[in-house]
Amino acid sequence: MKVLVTVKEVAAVEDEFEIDGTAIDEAYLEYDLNEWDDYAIEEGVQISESEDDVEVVSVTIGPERSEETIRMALAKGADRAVRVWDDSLEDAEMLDVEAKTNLLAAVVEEEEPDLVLSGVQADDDGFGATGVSLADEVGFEWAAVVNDLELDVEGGVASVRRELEGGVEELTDVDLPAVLTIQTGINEPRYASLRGIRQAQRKEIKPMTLDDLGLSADVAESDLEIVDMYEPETESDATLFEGSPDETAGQLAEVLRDGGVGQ
Amino acid sequence: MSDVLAVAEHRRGELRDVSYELVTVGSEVADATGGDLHLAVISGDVDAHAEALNLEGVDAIHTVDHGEEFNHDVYAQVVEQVYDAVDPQVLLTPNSVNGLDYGPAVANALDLTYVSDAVGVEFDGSTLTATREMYSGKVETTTEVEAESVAVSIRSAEWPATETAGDASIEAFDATVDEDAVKSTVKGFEEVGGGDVDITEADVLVSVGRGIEEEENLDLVRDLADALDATLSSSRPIVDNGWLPKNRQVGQSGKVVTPDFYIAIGISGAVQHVAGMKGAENIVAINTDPNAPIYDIADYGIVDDLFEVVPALIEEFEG
Amino acid sequence: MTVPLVPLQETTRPTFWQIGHTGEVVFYYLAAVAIVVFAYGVYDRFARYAQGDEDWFERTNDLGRRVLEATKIVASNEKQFDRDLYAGVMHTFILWGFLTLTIGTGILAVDMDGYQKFTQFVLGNKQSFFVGDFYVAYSFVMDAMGLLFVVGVGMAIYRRYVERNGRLWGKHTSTEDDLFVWTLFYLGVGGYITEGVRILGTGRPEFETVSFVGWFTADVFAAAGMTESMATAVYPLTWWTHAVVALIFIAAIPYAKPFHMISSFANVVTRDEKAGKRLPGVPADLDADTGAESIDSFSWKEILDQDACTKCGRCSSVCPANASGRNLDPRDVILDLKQYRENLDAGGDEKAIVADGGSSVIQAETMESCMSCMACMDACPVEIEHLNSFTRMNRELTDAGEIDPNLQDVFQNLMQKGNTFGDPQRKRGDWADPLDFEVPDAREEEVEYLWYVGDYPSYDDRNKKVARSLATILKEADVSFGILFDDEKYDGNDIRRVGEEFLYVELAGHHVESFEDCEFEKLVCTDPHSYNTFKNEYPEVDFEEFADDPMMPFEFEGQWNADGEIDVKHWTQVVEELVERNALGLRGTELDYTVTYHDPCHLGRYNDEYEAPRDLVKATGCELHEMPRNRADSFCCGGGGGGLWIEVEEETKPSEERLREALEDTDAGSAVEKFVVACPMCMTMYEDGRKTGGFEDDIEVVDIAELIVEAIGAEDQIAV
Repeated sequence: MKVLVTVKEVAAVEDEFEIDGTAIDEAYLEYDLNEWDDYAIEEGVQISESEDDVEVVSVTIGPERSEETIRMALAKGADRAVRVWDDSLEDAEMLDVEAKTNLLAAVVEEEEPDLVLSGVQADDDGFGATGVSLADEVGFEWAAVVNDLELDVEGGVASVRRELEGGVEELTDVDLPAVLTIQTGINEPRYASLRGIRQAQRKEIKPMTLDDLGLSADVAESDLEIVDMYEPETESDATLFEGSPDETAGQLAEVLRDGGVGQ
Repeated sequence: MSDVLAVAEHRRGELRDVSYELVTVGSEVADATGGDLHLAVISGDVDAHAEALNLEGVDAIHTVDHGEEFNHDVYAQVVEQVYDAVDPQVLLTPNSVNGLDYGPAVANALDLTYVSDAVGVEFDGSTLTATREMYSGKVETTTEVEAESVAVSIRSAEWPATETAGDASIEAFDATVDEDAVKSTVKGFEEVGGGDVDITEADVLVSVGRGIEEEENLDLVRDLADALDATLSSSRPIVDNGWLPKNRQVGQSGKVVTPDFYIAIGISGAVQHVAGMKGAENIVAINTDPNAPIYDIADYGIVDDLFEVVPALIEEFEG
Repeated sequence: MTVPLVPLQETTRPTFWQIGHTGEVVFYYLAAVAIVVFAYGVYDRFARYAQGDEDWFERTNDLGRRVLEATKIVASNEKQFDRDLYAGVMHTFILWGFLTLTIGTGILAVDMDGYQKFTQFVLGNKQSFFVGDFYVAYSFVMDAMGLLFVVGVGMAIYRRYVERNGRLWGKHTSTEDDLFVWTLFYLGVGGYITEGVRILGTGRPEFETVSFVGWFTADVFAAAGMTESMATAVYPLTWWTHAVVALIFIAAIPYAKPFHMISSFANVVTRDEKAGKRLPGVPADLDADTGAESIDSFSWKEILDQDACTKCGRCSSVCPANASGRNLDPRDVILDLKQYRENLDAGGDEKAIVADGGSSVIQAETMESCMSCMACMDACPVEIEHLNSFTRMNRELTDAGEIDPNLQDVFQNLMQKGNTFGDPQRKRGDWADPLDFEVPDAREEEVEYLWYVGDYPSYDDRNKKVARSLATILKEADVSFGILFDDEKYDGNDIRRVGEEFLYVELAGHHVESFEDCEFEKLVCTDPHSYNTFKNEYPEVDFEEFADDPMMPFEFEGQWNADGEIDVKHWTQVVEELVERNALGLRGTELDYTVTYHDPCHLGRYNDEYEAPRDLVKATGCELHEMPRNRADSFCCGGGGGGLWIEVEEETKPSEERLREALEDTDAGSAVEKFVVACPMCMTMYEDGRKTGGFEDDIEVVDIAELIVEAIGAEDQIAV
């Protein structure tokens, strides 16, 4: 069987940063593998370790720089990788859910996986929608926010737990092929050592352009536009106690006692 | 005139709060252009849910009685059909775990532009302006959608719930569910980590987060909880580390609590956590970082080392 | 009555008295068998070592010097006396007693089977030198040393069975330990019984009084009613019993604990004098087996280490991880590996060497527990290099990705930013902002001292004060120094110890490249960990090997400072020189605190610097009281070997135990006001232990640099 894991190189922002127009100043960004995708890779690799004849292919959409990130996936155990990029994507201000859906759908058609694993969301734009949207586009079954997965390869069924709000989990069976969006905590992602990353240099990262995927440049066109970016205002109207720990604790104790606490 | 279609959410027989909030957003958006707000109520006890959602601002409620619980294959089909029938300009869904399990599929199938996790929405008839967070809440963006049709998923607890009764028309919608296309089966639910304590019942919660650093330091907050006759709860990392059982977790994937006093110790206040405790009457924050988002919602705060403050506080109540 | 083979009046003893010619032949046959079995066993053991992988370090060069030094270490029993006088005396008695008896038997063999035969068959006139004064002296020495031997073995028995000393009993303690000590005891006592019976049976010849123990046993037997003829009658039985047990013992040597006489000596001969403070490197070749995939991954020396172990438990008894209830017993790690290897060689099932989950030989958690403090290696009397095997297993875990999540974050920070904090490199020099002078940039001006500040002093608030203190001291003493600002990254010492070797090489490569671009004479470090790796490890990395690797972005080829031209120093050594030439104007009366000093592992045990920090503490006027575990016996803070970054479940943290020691076990008792450190990691661990252990009101943790700054009245400089 073949497992396709979608990964994204996301930008993390330093604690202090500056905004330049509608984006964060590049100097304050650090690029890294998206946290949720790390769990998706681990899940894919664990499947390949427990089932026979599993190929794990990792796919990313991103410029050459993102090879560093996808190499992490290879170092952790993915067999090969596909990187989709194109000059016309470079020019796009942002790739929305629809654009990513179409790009990944073309890769799914090319690779024909039995299972697609993606992270629940990307830490930067936080759409949380690409996986399910992709499933619809390629006609796969799906499940969102999966925190436990058991695969019945023979029966073609994935038994999953979906992490609902309020400490409730939903137990669902979905038919394969399927797209599952993977929640953090489903496993313990392994470390990609520098040795592993160096070894991963020998694995294939196949570059694919829009042409290769049979797509035209307008795939990147988006109806979404970011017109403003700002730091959220702190709405704090908290009463902050000041002084030594003894003093502040004393003041807080007074408030608590007035509220009937500890009486 | 632009109509709005919003999809209600329920689970295990109960409407979820976000359904009432959807009415608030939906009627705001619809009113801006004089359009109508339609609600879709799918599966479960649709009549009771429709009755409960017959609120001010709702113009029409379409019920589809099919099955008991949420199933994304059913929802995807039904919402598409209701959408086609109502032909709205804006589709509103909750940005909940279930909302994310059909919203993007529906948007893709109907070729709608999908804007997820909005914390603010404005619509002038042609441009929808959504406020969204990026980079885990470090920035907010104003996003414009120039589109004929958009789907927006809204973050829960960002809008007030509509509570005033209304006079919407309630009609059963005749949807056709292709059972062959339903390829997923919900087998059941499981409460995670039940246990003896129900933190949702507590009047006073002492809640501990990542700032506690190490498991053994939990004794310190336990002592405080004892001194205050309070119940101990926590944020997600503490539970993820296995230091406290899941039933102590406050937040989106944990419990929603509304105590009289919520004392957050070493909790930064990530949005997922805040979702579970912002209904507390009084919120007290003890955290070294004055910029921690917890202070945005706190009523009282001590910006200092918890390892200094908590012992002093225990002393206040015990000494 | 049979006629004695040797006239009774001659001053010697009959070796085969009452044994007969057949007996003699049987004895020689048995002896030959014993020696063959012994030789085969020894050969087999060493053949197994030869199958082990090549060792990274040269261990058999300059063999004469190695053997000489090993002999000195073994003969003096210095390792046995370390931390344990009783065991020192015990082992000295046994070793020298045993050695003397062995040599004595050898002399007898030379006389009987060499000299006598030679004179008889070649010269035609059989002679023996085992007579007269020689015999008298011989017998006296043998009796005396044999007595020490018996006393030594008796001490061992007392300790093991009466006192039941804890460290002697572990999960690998088995009947072989009982057999070994009781056999030795039997051989020693049995020798005197045989001698006593013989003396009695041969009519108590006058000259035998020199065999004073044998004479005494003869007296005892006589007093118990044994007559001369009875003695003569039982003599063959006692003799044969003694001989057979001795021969069995000889044959058994290579197959059990007595083999330590050979393996431990070989281990001392092939030791690496810098073991631990320098770790083995790895080849750039990505396919090289550098971890612990299987038992065959281990080098021959690492296998020899396992066989050299005598299960004495000294390592485990000084291990801070073991003491704090972590899942690490260094002796058991070495012996688990040995047991697994022997099982496997005997056809047992193969398992993973190290992994998470319980089915491997060694648990991942066990390796995570190690603090690389080197106490085990310091305590080991037979020079087992635990850390080399541990590092091998840590490398295996790293390659398998089985790394504690907190540590993964640290590695990730290093890959992305170059420091363990994950803070921006451009803020690296910010600690110096509050100073009222500029810290010079060593990249732009020539300096005498290139100061490597380190991660913690650069980014951690508490340790920033130490950095500012040291800057103030250097400035005050008018020293020419400079730092690297954002070209300084993490030194790599501890991530190397937890197994991330290539990341270490990358960091080392970055630093040597940066060093090359600066004009300076000496390198000075705040952190003993940096000091260790710069001094002992950077010069050994062959950067050439990594020159073409795109993942190794540094541009440096060859080796750095291989000739030791650049002096690498810890700051206390530099400042001690300044104080000596009175560059700081200290009178030695400035402060009057009662303090104790904690030796950082990487400064003390690793690099033998004990006095410079103490001299500095005293130079401020502080009254220094030593903790019982000081200098080489120092007890780790818990921060080394990645301990700073990971959380391990433990009963009492090492830092808490150490603070307790500071407050309870020095001469000054609870009067100790300040716990003085000289290492940023110690600072962090003890500030933490002070909080969690409830010592906040009792003791303060200060760095020596802070004491000095206070003494010269420049405290304002360091506060924010």
